[in-house]
Amino acid sequence: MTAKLLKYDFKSTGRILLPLFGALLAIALLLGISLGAQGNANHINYTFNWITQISMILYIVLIAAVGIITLVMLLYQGFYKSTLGSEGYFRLTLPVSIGQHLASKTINAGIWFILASVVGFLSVMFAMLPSFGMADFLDGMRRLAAEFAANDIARREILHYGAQILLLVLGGGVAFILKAFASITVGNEWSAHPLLGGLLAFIVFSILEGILETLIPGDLQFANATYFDNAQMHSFLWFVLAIVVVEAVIYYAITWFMLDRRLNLQ
Amino acid sequence: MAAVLECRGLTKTYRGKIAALDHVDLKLDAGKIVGLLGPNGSGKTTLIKTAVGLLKPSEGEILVGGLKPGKVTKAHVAYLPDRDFLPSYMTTDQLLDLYQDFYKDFNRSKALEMLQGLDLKLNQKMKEMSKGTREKLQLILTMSREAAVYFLDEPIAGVDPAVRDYILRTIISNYNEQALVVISTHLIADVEPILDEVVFLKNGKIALQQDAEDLRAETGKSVDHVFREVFKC
Repeated sequence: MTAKLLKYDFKSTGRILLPLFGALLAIALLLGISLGAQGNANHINYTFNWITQISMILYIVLIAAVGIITLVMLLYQGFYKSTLGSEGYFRLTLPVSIGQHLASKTINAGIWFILASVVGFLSVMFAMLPSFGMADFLDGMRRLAAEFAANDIARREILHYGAQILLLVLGGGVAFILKAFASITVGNEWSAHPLLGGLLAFIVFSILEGILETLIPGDLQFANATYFDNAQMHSFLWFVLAIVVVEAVIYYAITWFMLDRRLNLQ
Repeated sequence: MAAVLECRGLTKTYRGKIAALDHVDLKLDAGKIVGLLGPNGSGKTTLIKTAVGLLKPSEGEILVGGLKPGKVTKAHVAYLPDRDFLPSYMTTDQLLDLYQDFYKDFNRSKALEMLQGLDLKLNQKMKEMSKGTREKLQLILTMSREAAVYFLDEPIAGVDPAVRDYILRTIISNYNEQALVVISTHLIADVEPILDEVVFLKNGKIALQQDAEDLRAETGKSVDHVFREVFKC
């Protein structure tokens, strides 16, 4: 059932986000081509200059829009409206447990978070590559790969850091989304102003997080360190990841409790 | 016969003050169409929402087929809320898929048969339909399930008389006869002909529960008339 829920959650979010991502990549490509054409030209081409300026503005606007709309779609359409809004009358009367609903929404948010990051990265590549030239880029990548293959220690460290940073980014994104879900469900208790209640709950959770994090002895120990070698740095990153996971679990539990035990859909 | 729906001292208070349901004791059996009747604010919607698991009781309990509302009961309960509740961006065809995906008891061919009677394209989105058509489509999807209990919350409120007739015809010609059908409404005259039993709710309490035919025989009046007397302002 979770897979079926995920299919509908993904479609519901994707109908807005996919065209937006497509538009961002198209504008990035246009910007890249016009930047590349200007770089190759030996005199000022006013047509390309004009296209570059327009596509640059559109690109900046779309980058901001992708960030904001992705967040709004995941929180408002993807969670609030389909759970505590009018669609909740359908969703929450399906023969599905609250755990399955939450799993679907969290996985959906995780997928869109990754997709948005990939699209953001690709858009930068699209915008920059034509200026640098594909041949130079591939040459640079080949040299990097050769160095990577030649140096065992560097390869191991880069892979280790890379995995940790990826996990931290993904875990942090999911924990943030779960914190927002928890805030929305707690804020919904204030039935007259549920969204304002959600915002206040989010602020309170953030303050509590700050207070609790200062009470963690390990954190203080790391904070006082003046020098990190690689081993210490890896330990520190694993420690931060553990905190992120604990936070995610707590926010998941709060959301589950509010929906399963205190649901009052009005 | 064991009650399909049972309330024991069911109480629901909002904000700890206003009792929408006040120690309600009620038993409803299968194979009947029951009118849950009362004016606005009498607790009809609260009772139904508690039965389908959208509200948690403040006190007492409500059982559907002997179980508290949850994943198991939801598989056997068909619910039509008093509002648009399906994703408005979905087409009729997509909504049929949605019901088929989640409800084992959904009868797609029955739904398609009912839809044939409507001037409705399968690729038309909900948001492109008139209010009356949306109401009909939502009712068709609900009634196309072979459920054990149907909760229809104000199915005829806010629609014109022609749509009202269509809705009532659809209910009586499509419900599972072994099932319990609970229809909440304050438009008594329209639903009276199809009711087997009536429950009057007044200020969150049961004011009357009786077989509709017996009530008419005992009082010599229509259910609508008795309702007007009980709820006289």
